[in-house]
Amino acid sequence: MTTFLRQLTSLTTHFIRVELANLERLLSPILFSTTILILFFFAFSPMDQEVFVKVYIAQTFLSMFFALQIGFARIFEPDDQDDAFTLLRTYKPIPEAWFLSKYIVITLFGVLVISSTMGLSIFFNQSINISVASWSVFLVAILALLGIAALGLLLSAMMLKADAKQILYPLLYFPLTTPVLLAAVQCSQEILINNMSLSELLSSWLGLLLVFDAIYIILSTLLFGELVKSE
Amino acid sequence: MSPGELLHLSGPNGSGKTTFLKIIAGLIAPDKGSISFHDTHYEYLDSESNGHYLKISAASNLRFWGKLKQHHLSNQQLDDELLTWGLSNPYISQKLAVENFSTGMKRKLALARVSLSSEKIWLLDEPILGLDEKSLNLFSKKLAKHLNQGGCAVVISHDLSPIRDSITRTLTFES
Amino acid sequence: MRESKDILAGLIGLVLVFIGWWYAFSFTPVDAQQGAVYRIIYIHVPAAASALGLCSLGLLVTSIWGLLKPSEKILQASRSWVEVGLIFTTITLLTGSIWGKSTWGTWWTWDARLTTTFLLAILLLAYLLLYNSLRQGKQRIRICSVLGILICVDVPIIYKSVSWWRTLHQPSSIIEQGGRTMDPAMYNALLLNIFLIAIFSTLLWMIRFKNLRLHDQMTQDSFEGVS
Repeated sequence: MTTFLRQLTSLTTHFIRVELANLERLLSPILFSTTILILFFFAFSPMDQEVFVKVYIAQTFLSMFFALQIGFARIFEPDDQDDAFTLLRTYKPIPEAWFLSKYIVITLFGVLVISSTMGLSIFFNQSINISVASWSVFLVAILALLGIAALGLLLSAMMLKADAKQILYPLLYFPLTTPVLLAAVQCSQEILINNMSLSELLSSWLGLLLVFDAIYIILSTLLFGELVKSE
Repeated sequence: MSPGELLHLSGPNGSGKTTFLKIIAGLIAPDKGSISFHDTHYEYLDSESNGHYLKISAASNLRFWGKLKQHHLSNQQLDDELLTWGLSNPYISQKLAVENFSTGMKRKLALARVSLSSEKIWLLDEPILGLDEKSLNLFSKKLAKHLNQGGCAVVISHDLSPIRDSITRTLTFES
Repeated sequence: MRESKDILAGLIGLVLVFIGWWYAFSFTPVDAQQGAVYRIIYIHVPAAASALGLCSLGLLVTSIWGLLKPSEKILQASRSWVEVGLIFTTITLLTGSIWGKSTWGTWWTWDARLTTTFLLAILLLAYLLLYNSLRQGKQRIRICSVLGILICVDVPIIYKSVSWWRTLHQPSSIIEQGGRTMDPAMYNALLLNIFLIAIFSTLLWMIRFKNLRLHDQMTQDSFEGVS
């Protein structure tokens, strides 16, 4: 346990340092989601009031998913540039510690992307009659992030040495994360349109979202170990 | 292999020397046969890469690798090692991102990592690529010291001059 | 000769499939609402069962095995399931579109089976792309095995989530209702076709697997022949 915690701490602090050393890696996805939001807004405006909330949810979640996908796909770039990934394999860190350290970093990054995207989307979608600002919807987005971050991290490790990963990654990432997107969007619609609370949604879409998260996190942690173990 | 041994892998290009070293390092599984270790901790250096995180400094890289193996490196140890490799300038060692280093400087940093490690087994693939003459002599001394202190090494090197005196055994690969 | 055995196996498979269709077209009543066009169900549903059921299960088993005991042989077995699965996902989508057009007047409907099959087709294609983009070796076997497991675990999740999403927003389609209110003769014919298509899928898999093994062997032999 001590070794696990020690490795988790050194790996996490190191990976955070590496990410902060190159702010472009954080800024690019945020700028990308902003651009996508603007494009959506142009494509959907002007909107009827009755579809306004649904379009806001669609715009926001899709922009976040696209931006997060870019961030997830690049999570191992610093490890790949001088093949530090291979060297790390020879050091034989506990695979779960390695996975969790990257997962913590990728989740922190994801929170920043979600916060900025949702904040901007609320700002763009201001309406006198309806307010789309909701902490419950923000929490739903964070819960969705927990699941897709695990899957995104695993896919990124799988494609480290693959050709054409820029096209392969989204081809795998988007279909596999469809359940999370569906659950998150349905939850958000129930919250904003039908004024349902999070506790009421626990027995339906929110509960499903939590189950998806658990499945993806456990599966990804186990399978990551298979990818990095020494021969 | 025994303490103090230097096994030199020789052979023409494409004969399997690097593959063999990677098998020892646990990066590739052998199709046949097995390797058993008394001590499974080793330092590996690849021929085509150095394993650096390019956006952070030399000192940050060395501290990270040291921490991961629980080698408690003091700042003094770090500074001394970087000094021997000519990387002691505070700006170069503490501030400059490794991506700005020359090929030779990156290799020296990698050798500093190997040297700072207390692992008994060194697995080195073309360790002297890009090194100047002074660094070649330094590497030769570091290697000899490692072997004298009971370590062993498996080395691939087309240039034998820095390792010739330390070789105890040669394994020749044929095409 | 190995070749003639494979040809014979393929022919037997085709004959079985035609027997199933003949039985379905000859001994089942016409549907009261849809008329004779409903009989496309005897191709559509067995193809879907093969893609979503048998091929996915085959991929899951070979992928788990690929992690436990990695070998090129088991990877080719996985790849063969992926390719056969891709054939049957395509058939499912085409027949589903035709049925949808004749029943609903639209070429596409977002019912759970079609949507899941569509996403599965993308995932299986991506599997083959990934397979071809990685170098041969134990890492490729591991990576493809991990992906195989991911796909197989995720497909039922996708199916259920789309199914629930549909339940909330749209009435069940006739495609989904059909199974529950079927005439016994139709149901038996459907089960027979599902069974016969499953045999045909397995025969296709065996032929493709042998084909890949032979290709591998030829590559290996030509390498060893190089001095």
